[in-house]
Amino acid sequence: MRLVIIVALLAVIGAASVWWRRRDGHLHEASGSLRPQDLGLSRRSQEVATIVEFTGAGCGPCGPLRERLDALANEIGDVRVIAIDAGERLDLADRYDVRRVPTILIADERLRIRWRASGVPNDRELREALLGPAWAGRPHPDTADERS
Amino acid sequence: MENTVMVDRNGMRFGAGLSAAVLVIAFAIDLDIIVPIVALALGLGAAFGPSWSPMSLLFKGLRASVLRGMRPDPEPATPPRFAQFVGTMFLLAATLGLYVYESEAVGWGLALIVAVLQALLATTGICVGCEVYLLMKRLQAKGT
Repeated sequence: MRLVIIVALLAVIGAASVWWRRRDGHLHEASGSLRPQDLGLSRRSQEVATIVEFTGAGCGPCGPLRERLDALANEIGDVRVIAIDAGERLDLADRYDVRRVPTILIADERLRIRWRASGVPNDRELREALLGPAWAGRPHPDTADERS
Repeated sequence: MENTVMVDRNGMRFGAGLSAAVLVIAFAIDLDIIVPIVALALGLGAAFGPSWSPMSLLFKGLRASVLRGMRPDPEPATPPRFAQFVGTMFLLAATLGLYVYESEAVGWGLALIVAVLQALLATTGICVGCEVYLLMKRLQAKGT
């Protein structure tokens, strides 16, 4: 009987681990909108894609992720990165359903949320989200170059 | 600026994995005495800070020797300390179940809940007790 319980517990832990690894740090499509006033943006702010990173005190991976996001934004050009301390802005953490840090939201020019991830996504996923075919409403830079 | 005591997340995960394994093995061989021993180990971390638990001290020893290349992954100590407090309470209740009420179902049921949560922390990094702590802080901040 004890052996059966142990096997069942190990199965539960194994399943939970697999589920978590598939979810953690992976971007998935999301909906909703960012409010300009939440981000300190005026109506006259330049319309570019927006990455919001929710950070927190003592969050080890948040700083390195911010550096990677900034580097990606510099490389791509029309992307802005905004960091929000979830501990200081609990109202925003609640509004955007942020349960852990880092959490990132990627929104298009109209501030419609397209992607979100809890954890640390890799560069390939970030590029795919910002430049890939699934990105609606934003021309791929290569295509834009061809048109100009 | 307020100073935040930090702990190495790797150490917390190592300690959680070790105590989960010890509890499961004790359950397998029906060794009740392990439950209060693990309660005491977690209780030391809850009382004096996570880095004072025997598991963390063992991890420190390993880091100084075989795990020398491992990069530390710091996190604030308060949420894991709260989680260790909750784990200690569960294991104390489990001890009461086993020794006072002589109920294996209650005693080992509570101990295995701790073992599963510790195993989840070890394998995925999910700290349920820490999440409860952060949720309480959030509710507290909303109330003020």
